[in-house]
Amino acid sequence: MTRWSRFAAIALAAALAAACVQGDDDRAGDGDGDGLADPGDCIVVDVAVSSEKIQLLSELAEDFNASDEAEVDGECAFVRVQSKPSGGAAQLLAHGWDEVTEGPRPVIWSPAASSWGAVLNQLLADEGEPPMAGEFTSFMLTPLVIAMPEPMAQALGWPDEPIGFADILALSRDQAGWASYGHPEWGQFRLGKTNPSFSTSGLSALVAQAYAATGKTSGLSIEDLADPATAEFARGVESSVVHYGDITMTFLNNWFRADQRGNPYGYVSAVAVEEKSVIDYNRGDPDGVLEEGEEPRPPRVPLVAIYPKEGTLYSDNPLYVLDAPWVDAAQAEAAERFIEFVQLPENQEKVNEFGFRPGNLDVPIDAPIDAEHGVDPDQPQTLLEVPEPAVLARLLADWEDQRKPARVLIAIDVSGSMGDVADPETGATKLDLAKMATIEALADFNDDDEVGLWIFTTGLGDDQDEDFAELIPPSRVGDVREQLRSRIRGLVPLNGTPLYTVTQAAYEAQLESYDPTRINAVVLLSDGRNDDGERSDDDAQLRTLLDRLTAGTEGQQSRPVRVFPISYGEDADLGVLRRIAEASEAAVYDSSDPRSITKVFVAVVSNF
Amino acid sequence: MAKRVLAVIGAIALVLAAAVVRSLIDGDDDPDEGRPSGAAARVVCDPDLRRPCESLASPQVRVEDSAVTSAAIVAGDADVDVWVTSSAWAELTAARLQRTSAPLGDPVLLASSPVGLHVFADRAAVLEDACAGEPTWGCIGDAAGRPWSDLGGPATWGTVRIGLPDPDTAVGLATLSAVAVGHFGDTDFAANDFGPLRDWLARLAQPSRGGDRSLLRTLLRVRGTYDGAALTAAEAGAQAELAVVATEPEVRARIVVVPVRGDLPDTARRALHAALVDAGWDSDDLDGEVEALLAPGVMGALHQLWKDVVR
Repeated sequence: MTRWSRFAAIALAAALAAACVQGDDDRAGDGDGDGLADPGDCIVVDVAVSSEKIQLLSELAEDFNASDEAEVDGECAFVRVQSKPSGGAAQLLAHGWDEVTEGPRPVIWSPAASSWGAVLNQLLADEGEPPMAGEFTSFMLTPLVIAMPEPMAQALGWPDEPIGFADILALSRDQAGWASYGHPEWGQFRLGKTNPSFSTSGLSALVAQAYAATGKTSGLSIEDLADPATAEFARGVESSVVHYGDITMTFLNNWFRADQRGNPYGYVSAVAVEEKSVIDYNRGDPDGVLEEGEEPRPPRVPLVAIYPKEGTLYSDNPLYVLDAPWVDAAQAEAAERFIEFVQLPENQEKVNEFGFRPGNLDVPIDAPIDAEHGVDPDQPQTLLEVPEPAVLARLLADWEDQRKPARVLIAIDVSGSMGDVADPETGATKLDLAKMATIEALADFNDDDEVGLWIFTTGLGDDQDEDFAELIPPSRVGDVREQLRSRIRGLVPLNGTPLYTVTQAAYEAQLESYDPTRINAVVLLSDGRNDDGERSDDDAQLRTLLDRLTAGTEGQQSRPVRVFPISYGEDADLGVLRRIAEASEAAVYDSSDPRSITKVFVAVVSNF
Repeated sequence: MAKRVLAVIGAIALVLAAAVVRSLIDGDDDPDEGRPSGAAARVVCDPDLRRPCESLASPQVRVEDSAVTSAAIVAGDADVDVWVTSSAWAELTAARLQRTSAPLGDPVLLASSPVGLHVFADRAAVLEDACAGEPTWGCIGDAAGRPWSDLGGPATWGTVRIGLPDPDTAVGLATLSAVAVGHFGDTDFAANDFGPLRDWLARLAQPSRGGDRSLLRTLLRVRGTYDGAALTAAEAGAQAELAVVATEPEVRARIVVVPVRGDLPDTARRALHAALVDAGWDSDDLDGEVEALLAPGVMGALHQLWKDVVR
């Protein structure tokens, strides 16, 4: 099964529903239902929302629960909010929502865009089921923009000259890069885009890219996509992509860290994100979620939002009271009360404060949606037309062939602790689950991607003094897929966890064979802390590793090899793995519950 | 201070009026003799009139597209005593009924508002120039779908996109009539003249194919969707950034109460009238006659044409 086929259901349904591709829940958050408040004896209104508005709606839910509005026929109402990616929620609602693994089934569903409501209804119709998502209230709005560091935008003529996707994409294909604009010190133009099979903003950017390739702003056709010039344009653009990924937060966090180190120009030049993300970034809160104790610190170089002159697309954040069998009349009534509550002007002002455009017309658009935060409330001037369903489906299918190929080294921890039982029901060990997830993930690579396989633990080799073993060097996946599967199936748990040495070795190996035409990366799966039998040099090893990774990402002639660690099991060293990811301008993935490893691996591979 | 006092008095008056109206329409003066004494009159309001109809404060008030109500009335299975809609839908329905069964009661005019194209002021200026000072629906329809740069505007505005209301609604059918009158230049046309109108309307209606039910909100909040939208003055209110064009020949959306199987008490009717005026509709003579803009058959054909071109 290919990555395309795995997500084809969502994508095709989106297409068939003629869904607009506006925005997506481009932030992290699985929302497993843990930590939901106790509703007591009240009427419970569970709300599933895309992650960009989890904080805002959670706060509004708290306000609502404490207000006089939270009452239906003398009974109290209680709203609980959990985060769910839009596409994933549509799939769950259509195909069965397991409350054990996914949390409570929602009474209200708020995906990033109403297109997902159409997707859900299409999925249901395909199974002969009635629609669940009917009329809706748009909670808030935010347009898709191109975010750039202000000096880079100025170099392109901003704000006097209108800039379009076509301009950005032409620059991304220009071998001279920023030198063409008088800034050779900025090096090549580097584009950030999320994976369109996962992220609606990635899909929106892909639509915009296709329009730019054809010079059209509406009426994109299959014939347009079949034109070899369109495909060539797409490949040229994709070649400038630093990596993909499922959420824009990865780009924004990495960008912000690069800015704090004094060079926001090296990691990426432009990223397609929602307008709200530009505001968050410029406030010093790049992922839009302030963790406990975290203080926003404005960036050294702010981003500006470029509203593409050809037009753009919106996220309209609908609030659906689901017409579902598990929603009773009292819950529906309570849900309507909550929706009325969030539409109140005082609450819509909070929407504005969070950086979204209020859905309530009575509430004017105000700061932070202003020039001071890098955005313009009078934009966009025009919108792109959403392609016909078949065109959208073809666009996604073509992207699979046109995307930048990857060169990935997968390093799997086979330390003794990987033999611990991870799923008491089945008796599967951590290694069993990791092997299954890795084998499944191999299907998500294209044949022309290159994948290698390492294992690491102490005591390897004839003399039992090696920390890792190369089972298969990076090779064309189409040639070695079965071989990889076979070697993975044969893995067994062994000794200690030489985390630092193997990370450094894997990084160096990838760097040595660096291929500039590919996304070069290491996927590092580890379940424990560094344990190579010698503790005294651990700090020095880590420092050396982080310095090496950081140095590799800096400078215009850098050859970035990104390390994507998977923190596997409760004993994994998430903190250190995060530092490793950040040093290489990648992202860490948390699979503290080993049963989530398959889902996590899918997210990791979305970067390629 | 005086304004605040007046506002409070006004609010109290509206509440009292609503209470009186509710008691009246929930009371014993139900005109439908076939129904139990004490049953409330069943009022159906078009979605465009949802807010004014809330002044009736009755659980028997239902909101439904005029096209749906009209079809039910014509089919003889309408669950409605009183219908609040536009004169356009009332006339069309009455004409269709005459072919099948008993006619409707005479519609009573409540209020009206002129239909125009409410467009961003910078775009209005370009349209003025492009249309030689007369941006009629005819000229605007000709411009629809063309790049603004062809008309003298900047390329960054994209193509000319106009939002039109769904003619299934009260204001929508009146607006469609206004657009057609603008295209032909007068009201002297019939369905057999629609040939060139079809493509013209298809181009103009293209951005409205999804059936937008909140045109003003979309225009102002979902920037870039439309350059302008066909609205009544009552809907548009005072928007500093918008200008109004395509106001000649003047076409008004007229709101009427139509007795179907009963009637609305005079007091309720007056309260609804007051609510409409409060919502920005122009006060019309409650005893005035409703003038037809187009022949009902032509409006019906226009409605069908819209369905065909947006499909």
